[in-house]
Amino acid sequence: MFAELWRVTSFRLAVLYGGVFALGVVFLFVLIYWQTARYQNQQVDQVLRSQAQVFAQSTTEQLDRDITYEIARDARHIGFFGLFTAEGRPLAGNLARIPDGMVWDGKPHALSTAVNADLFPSAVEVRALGRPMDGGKRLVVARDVALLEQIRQSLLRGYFAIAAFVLLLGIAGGVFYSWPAVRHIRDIDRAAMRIANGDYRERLPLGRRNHELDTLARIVNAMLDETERLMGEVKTASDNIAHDLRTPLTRLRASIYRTHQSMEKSSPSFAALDHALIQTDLLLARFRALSRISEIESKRRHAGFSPTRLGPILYKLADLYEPLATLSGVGFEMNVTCDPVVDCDGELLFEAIGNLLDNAIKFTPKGGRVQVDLAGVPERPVISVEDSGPGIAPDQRKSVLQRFYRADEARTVPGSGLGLSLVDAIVRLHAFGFALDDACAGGLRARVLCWPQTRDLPS
Amino acid sequence: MNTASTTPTGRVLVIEDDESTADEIVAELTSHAFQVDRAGNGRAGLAFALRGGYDVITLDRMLPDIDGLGVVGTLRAQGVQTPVLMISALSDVDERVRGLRAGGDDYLTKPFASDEMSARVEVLMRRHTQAAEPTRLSAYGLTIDRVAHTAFSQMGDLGLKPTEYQLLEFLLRNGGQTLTRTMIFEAVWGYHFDPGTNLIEVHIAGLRKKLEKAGCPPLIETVRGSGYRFGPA
Repeated sequence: MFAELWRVTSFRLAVLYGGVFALGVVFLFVLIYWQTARYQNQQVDQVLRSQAQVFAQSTTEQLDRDITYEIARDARHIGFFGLFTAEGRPLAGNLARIPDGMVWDGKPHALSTAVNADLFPSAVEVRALGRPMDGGKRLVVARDVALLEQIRQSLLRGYFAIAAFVLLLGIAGGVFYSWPAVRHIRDIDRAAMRIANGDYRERLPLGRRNHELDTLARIVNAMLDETERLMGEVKTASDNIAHDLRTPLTRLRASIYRTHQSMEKSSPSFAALDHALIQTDLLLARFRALSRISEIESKRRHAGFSPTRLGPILYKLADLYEPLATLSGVGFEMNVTCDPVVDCDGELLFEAIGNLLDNAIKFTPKGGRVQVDLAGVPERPVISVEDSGPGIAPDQRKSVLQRFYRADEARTVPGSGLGLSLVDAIVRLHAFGFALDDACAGGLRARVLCWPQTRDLPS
Repeated sequence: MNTASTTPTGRVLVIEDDESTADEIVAELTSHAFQVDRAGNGRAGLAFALRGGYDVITLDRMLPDIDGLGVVGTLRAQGVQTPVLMISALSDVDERVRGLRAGGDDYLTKPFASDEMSARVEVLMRRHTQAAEPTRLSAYGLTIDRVAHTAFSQMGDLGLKPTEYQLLEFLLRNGGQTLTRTMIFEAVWGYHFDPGTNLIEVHIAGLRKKLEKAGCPPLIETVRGSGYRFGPA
């Protein structure tokens, strides 16, 4: 789902904008935090300086009292004071010794609480100012800034929570605005699949929002309208020709047939009329095949579809074609390793596989072999017809599906060039797959993949 | 004379609005010794048919007033059981099913070979006039057991495979009549499309061999350009 969403521009933009905005928020908050921390440190330093200044101005007698007073005034116990002799002995204040790391420049500095844990047991961060006094004495004024640090940490956590919320809001907004587009793309995908499978009446769906996808769908639909119209014109023209010729041809055949039936076999014209009858039948058979392909392609007949077991169809086919193979001196073998139930038009599937078998037997030389297999998992059964004939060159495998196309090797063998077109039309009607490739025995292997195909079919 | 069978002497009603098609049907049926009446629309056809006396009716599916489905539906509702061969330009399998469900007995699509049409009419007439078929049929020195699905000659069991038995039974039941490849394919394999010339010929050849081995005279005649006829040559 995320991958699908990520393909939608509006979602990516929403996430991108959300991310940039969240980054901006973080940057802003870091700036505010830094300024706040700096200001708070300045305030603490100012206090330390003021206190040091006051102590510096006190007389030796007052100093002890002033320090005691400051300690008493510090109700939160965050202030530390100490007056030490030059040797470091404490004279006044609440510090037992001079903290390690003191700098005696009269300016506030951060002091390590790790090495001075005995002096500041509950402190997290301490700032301290050291100042030399008259008579070699040394003054230490320090302040625990843990509370300020806590405030700063709280602020930081709040800032990051807000940034995360903004980012999530951006993603949620992206999903909200992009999900209809994802659904629309799915619908378009399904419609495109149906069109790719030969349903040229299908159109890309239009949404209610009239956004760029709809504009694109409208353009594609207009192209499909035009393509369908042109195809319809071509088809109507060829169908009309087929229809208009079939009726007079049928009447011609009837006249020949009646004359043929009423003629003595010894008549010199009998053989010629016999030949004419056979040729007319061949011609009519081709027109019938053309009309049948056209009917299957255009009418989208689905009334004959029902859950059908494939095994019995193949056994019937073997029953029908095995004698023909035997008569042609071709070995016939059938392997049915499963008996799946498939939603299909059993009669049409029989006709399609029958055509494949007819071709296989026709093109396999005497002594060769034809093999029919039904295999695969129940959801994806594959019917394959393999022969040891000359096969079809890879570059001709698509062309042989066109009406009347005959591969180079097939030109000397009787046939109309419509058999594989009919198979292709039937397979397309079912949205099954159809693949032609090399057989193990060196001939052709034709496979019907008996489950709905999605995209491009293997060739 | 290599003429078509002239044995049938039945009455056929042709209901067809297209004149040239009707001429074709009438000419073909007349050449097979049928007495033919014709009606140019559904209403007239229905009136003729209800009057009775016909062995078979050929009925166009698309008629200007009452269409073919309406005509056959009315006939069946009125208790008229005359066999109906529906003829239609609509070859879709849905149409075939619809026609047969409405009460038609057989279905043929236009344009059709006239001998195929007459062969179907003959089979329909035979089926209609035959009494209930016994479980054992005997003809031309052959006996078939329709329960055990076996066939015998004077020399014993023919040892037929199931398909060969079905083929022989269909031929025997319609002995003396021309049966087209499509009709045989429909009856034996149950599918409705043209199986091509070779296939049925191969199966007929196989059956001929078995009959010959069983000491039967040549019983399956090839009717050039049409199909086969069962019976003594």
